[in-house]
Amino acid sequence: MKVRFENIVAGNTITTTSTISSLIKHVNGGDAILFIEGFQVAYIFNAGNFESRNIEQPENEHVVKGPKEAFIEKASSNISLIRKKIKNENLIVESMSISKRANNEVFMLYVNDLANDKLVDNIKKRLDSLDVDMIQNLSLLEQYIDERSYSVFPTILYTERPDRAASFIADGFIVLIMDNSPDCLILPATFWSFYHNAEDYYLRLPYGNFTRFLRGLALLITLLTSAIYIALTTFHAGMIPPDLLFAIVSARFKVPLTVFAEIILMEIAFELIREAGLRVPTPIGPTIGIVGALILGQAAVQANVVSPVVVIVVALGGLCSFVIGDYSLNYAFRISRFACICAAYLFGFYGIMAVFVMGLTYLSSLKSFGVPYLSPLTPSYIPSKNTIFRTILSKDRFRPGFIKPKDTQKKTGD
Amino acid sequence: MLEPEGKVGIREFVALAVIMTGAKITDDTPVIFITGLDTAAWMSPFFLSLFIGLPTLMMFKVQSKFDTTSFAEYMNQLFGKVLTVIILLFIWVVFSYTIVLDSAKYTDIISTMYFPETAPLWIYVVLMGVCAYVGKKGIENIGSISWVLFPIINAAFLIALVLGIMQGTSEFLFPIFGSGEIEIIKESFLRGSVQFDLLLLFVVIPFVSSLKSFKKGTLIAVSILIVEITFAFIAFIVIFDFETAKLISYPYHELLRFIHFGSLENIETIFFPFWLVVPFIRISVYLFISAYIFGQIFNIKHFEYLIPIFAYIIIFIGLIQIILHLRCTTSAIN
Repeated sequence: MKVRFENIVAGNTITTTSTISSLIKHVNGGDAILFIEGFQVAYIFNAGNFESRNIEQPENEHVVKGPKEAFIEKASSNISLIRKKIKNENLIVESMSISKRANNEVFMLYVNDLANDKLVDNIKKRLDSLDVDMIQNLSLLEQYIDERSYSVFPTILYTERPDRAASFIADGFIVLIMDNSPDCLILPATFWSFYHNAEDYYLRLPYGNFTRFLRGLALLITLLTSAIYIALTTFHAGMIPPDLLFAIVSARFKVPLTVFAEIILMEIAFELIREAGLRVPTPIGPTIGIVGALILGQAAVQANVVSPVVVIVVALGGLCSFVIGDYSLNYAFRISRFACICAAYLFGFYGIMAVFVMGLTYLSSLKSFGVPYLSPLTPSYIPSKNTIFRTILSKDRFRPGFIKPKDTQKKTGD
Repeated sequence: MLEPEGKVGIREFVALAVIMTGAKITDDTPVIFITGLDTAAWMSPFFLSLFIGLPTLMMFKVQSKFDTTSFAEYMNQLFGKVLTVIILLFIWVVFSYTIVLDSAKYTDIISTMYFPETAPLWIYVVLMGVCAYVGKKGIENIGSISWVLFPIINAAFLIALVLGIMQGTSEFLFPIFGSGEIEIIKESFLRGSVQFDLLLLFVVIPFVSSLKSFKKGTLIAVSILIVEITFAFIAFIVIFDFETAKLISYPYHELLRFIHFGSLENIETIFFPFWLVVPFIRISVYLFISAYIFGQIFNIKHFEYLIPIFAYIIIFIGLIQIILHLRCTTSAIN
């Protein structure tokens, strides 16, 4: 009686191979290979174990209410984190090698009977067409597969929360996971996926919508406060109520700079302090940054370099930019703010509106893997409720129509 | 790849049609109506829509006889090639000149009412630059931004009108029939040309998701327009009285200067940014349609590349218009 080799050797996973190329791949992956004289195949023992840290709390996407685990740098753990949330045989994990020399592997996760085939094929094709020697992690891969590399606005969602990734997968989106990346990429992404936050869904409807309202307000304040201040003081002073106007004028009385120079000076100072706070290697870095900002602002006001109103305006805009949770969208708005400031300096409200209309047109013309960026707000697709505000969960019955899932109803599963 | 349809949905179409056609009420068009109709000007939108209804219905009928939605194709079948080209060329020239007039008018509004110290040239350049950019992005994107901004623009417009009506004198509305019942019908009919825009929408049918949504959309848009324009006329008459209103060139903007909100005076600059979207969208659509007609005449497939060139030329012709107009106004003052 012939005894199968696998039955007498205990191991985690044992696979066989008969080609040298796949052998090399496994040796490079840290596995052990067993050759036996007279055998046509080699046995691969899954022995590779790359070190990584334990699963910890999310660093950038905090929630008060809701799960508190984040992805780590190990792809297999990340996949298990998602599998923990979707225990379904249709959840597919496909792996493919995307770089020629370093053999970096990317894992593509989607639900087979939900995700649109064309979309899956398109992403596979995009990943296959990459011709580079090494792509270390997802932050780099994101830039390789981005359709508009020069665009200010992000078109691929990047999150470190497995719960968010799982809910997107369940809606028919596609998630990419890689080793060395404590995060995942979600495609396609719309403007609203950056605008939303995991906690919006975990909070009860009024609270969730209240946070969303605050975020929308913060978005507008970040983008427009400095610009509106310049426009009002330079072009439309007549609009300001006299009392406030006197306050502004008396505050500006000793300041030698123009309003535009003042604002730009303070904006750049704020951005510098923010960047410095980010790079200070201790956890108290942000605190130093804020203290530095306060002292700097205070001193600047006392030395009559800038007027106190400008400090308020810039600080308000800067503070509100922290409300925008998504890091990429945060950058997008901070950069766009400078466009608005310059436009306001040149043409007042007319300039701001010109930039605003052009920006909005640009946003609506953007596409992420064929999906219009502002959908489902416009063009409209079936559940168009989940944009600025959301609805009650029990009424949220359809999967987003813009990614054309195979099954649009959320409730019936079979 | 998930190919988007590249078409305008019904919501976007309604928003686009209302903004495009409703834009007229904020320029000098109301004066034309008030001049002929006196206090009864506010009734004209209703009668006007009746008159405009006939050609619109006829267009629907003609449209339904053909299986193609492209107007150039069914005109080819109706008139033959040569005549079609001549008709289209005529429409295109008239239409392009409308863009020149309108863009010059908007530049005039912006520069005289809000930026008296800025050179009109730069205002014009910004206006046409933005419109060229927006127009080149295609009508589906213009539709999208119209829909996004539609509620805000309309809310601002209606708030301004309500404030105007509240601060006006309601007795100014009487005599309710103005210069007479027959006059209303006659004068409304004579001013039918201002609804030229609505017929232009037939050109964009190929870009609307379906013929059904086009018909439905036109109906909804016309209903919204009747209500809004009627409301606007009432506000103008109530706040200025019809005799004064005849002398004002841009009643909506004058109204913005009249109204106040509690202790807040000079609130026209709050409403100004919302109004600004209107000329941007209107001129963008016009540029797009103009390029589209041009493309149909000369068989240019990627006609959107013409839009920046058109915008460039329009600035030069429009500037002449502005200079002439400015000379007229200055000589009127002296």
